[in-house]
Amino acid sequence: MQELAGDGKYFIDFLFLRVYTDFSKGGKMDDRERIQNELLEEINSLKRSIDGLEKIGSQYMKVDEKLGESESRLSRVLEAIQEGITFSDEKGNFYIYNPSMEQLTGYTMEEANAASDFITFLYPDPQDRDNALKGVEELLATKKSREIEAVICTKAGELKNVLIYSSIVPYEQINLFLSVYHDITERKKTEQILKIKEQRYRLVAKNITDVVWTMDLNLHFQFFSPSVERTLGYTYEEALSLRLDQLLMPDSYALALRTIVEEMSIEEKRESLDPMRSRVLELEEIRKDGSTHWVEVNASFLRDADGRATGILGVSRDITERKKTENELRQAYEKLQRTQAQLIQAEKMEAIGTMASGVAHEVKNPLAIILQCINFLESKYSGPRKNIQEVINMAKENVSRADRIVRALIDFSRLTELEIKKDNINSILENSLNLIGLEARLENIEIVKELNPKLPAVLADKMKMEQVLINIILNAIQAMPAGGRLFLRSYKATEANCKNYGECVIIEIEDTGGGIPESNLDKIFDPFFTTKGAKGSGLGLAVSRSIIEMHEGFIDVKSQVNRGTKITIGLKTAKGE
Amino acid sequence: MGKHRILVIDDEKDFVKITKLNLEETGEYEVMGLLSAKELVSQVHSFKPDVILLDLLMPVIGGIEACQMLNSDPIGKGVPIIVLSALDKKADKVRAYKEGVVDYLVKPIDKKDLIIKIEKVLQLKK
Repeated sequence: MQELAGDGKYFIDFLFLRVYTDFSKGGKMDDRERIQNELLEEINSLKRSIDGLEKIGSQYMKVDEKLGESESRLSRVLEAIQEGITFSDEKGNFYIYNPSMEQLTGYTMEEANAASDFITFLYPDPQDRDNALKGVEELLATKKSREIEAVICTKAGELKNVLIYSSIVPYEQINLFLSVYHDITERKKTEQILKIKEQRYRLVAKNITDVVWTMDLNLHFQFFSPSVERTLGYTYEEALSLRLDQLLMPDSYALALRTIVEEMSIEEKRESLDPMRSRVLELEEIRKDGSTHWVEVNASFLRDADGRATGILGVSRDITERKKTENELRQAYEKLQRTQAQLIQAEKMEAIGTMASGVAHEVKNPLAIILQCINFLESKYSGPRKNIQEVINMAKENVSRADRIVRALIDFSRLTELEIKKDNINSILENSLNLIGLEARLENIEIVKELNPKLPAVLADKMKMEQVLINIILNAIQAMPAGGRLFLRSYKATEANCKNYGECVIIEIEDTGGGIPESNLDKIFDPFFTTKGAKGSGLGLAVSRSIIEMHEGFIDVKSQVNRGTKITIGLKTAKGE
Repeated sequence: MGKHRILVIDDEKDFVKITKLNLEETGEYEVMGLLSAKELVSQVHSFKPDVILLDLLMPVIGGIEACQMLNSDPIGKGVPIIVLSALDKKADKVRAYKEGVVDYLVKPIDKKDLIIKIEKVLQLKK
């Protein structure tokens, strides 16, 4: 502005010179005065103009000062701002290049300007370089600001992720570019970490079979992990609307409710409360398709800041395979136990058999002698002498009894091999019944038959099974001296009553007799155990059990005193039946 | 007609004795008892029994061996043998029948049953 004021003075001097020149060209005196006056007037006018100009000049100076202040403020802003800011022309000359930009790139504005193509320097990736160049073209074409993401290489060789906002600022005939560089390296790293975490989460969510869930204390589900869809077949929304009794099998539902009630009562007492305690339950869940699967649920209470229970958090893990393995293991163990018991029984029988065989012959000879002696005495004392015949008869009967025991022992020792064939258990039962039907009628016993006619064939030694059934039926008849009812049933076993023996057929023989005291129940299959006194050998049920076990079947007894006894026999069905 | 001669061979001394008593007491039989089969053939030659009652389980010479001895003797071969044994397995019976015994009774045996069997054999012999 001072220069402008200076120019004004030169202009006045110029005017004076012109007036003087006109005057020196020789005008008249009057004219000279007039001219002088005019000139003076003009000079005064000019002076006034100059004063005015000087005023304007000082105003300009103030504006200039303000501009300087603005410039300085802008500089400070540019220095303080964390984003890199550049202002450049189309040729790549930078006019503004703030300290953050220097810090970001490691290059000063001079270095940036010195580079023939700064973009080449800045973007190591050709793709980014192309994008940047295209960006410039687009900016020029559309005049619209744009945003790109790129990787730059700093002077120190460090790669940084930047987000660049560019806009075009037309100035007179040229276009200037304003660019803001935002360092997003850290954000990118965080994003990358988050991405990895998310991928992991997705991987876990995709593959995990555990279902995490929460419910309120009214037993309404509040949350399910995404795995619910895969494990139960329900969508998240469907699962949330499920009631506990819809999700669990009745027994499992009852167990779950019982456990919740127990835990709630512990909560109410608030004594010796372990807030971290959890309960582990094995529950059977129902899938959407109606199938069921076993889960192990680990559940604990959700609590508020005061430690009060507000809900239940649970993790359900599928244990179908574990259950299956456990079941197989249990079956194998039971089979092993049965086999072991059979082996022990077989060993016992072998020992008893060997002993019986030896004893039998040793006993039979003296018995033969005693009987012959009795025969002799009988012939000598068959006269009227009192009691002689009675005593002789008693002696003979007891020889017969001893002989029966010995014969039973020998029978017992001969349980070695079976002649197994496919047979119908109903016909074996009918045959057995025919052999003793008369006796049953005589005893005033009603026989109630409930035989399933459509039973699969069983694998059995017909003769030996008849022996077993006759034995048991006779026992039942003898248990009802005053008459009663004898139930004979046959049916196909369910999984529950087949005791893991596989497919089998059940035969039940039930009487309404006096029953067996509980103390005797576990002895009735023992050899020589009898409640019939002299009438029984004590080997009938022992032999029966041995025969059933040789068939790889089972025999059970249930009895109630004065109510009756039920013998249950399970026999394997023939393959392909 | 004289009494039928019965030869009893059993290692049980009392059995031999009481069988002898029981049979002789009927007045129908003359009974000789042997406690082993050692001199069986010579006794058969001298006693000439109508029926032999033979035990199977005997020490030194068993009943089956005794049968074989008799079968290889021209006189012994013709004498019917009834086995009186405590053994009652089918296999024992089959073995005995294979050696030509005519009957097999399992001890203890009632006197009446024994006499019925002896009479039956004697009738067959006739």
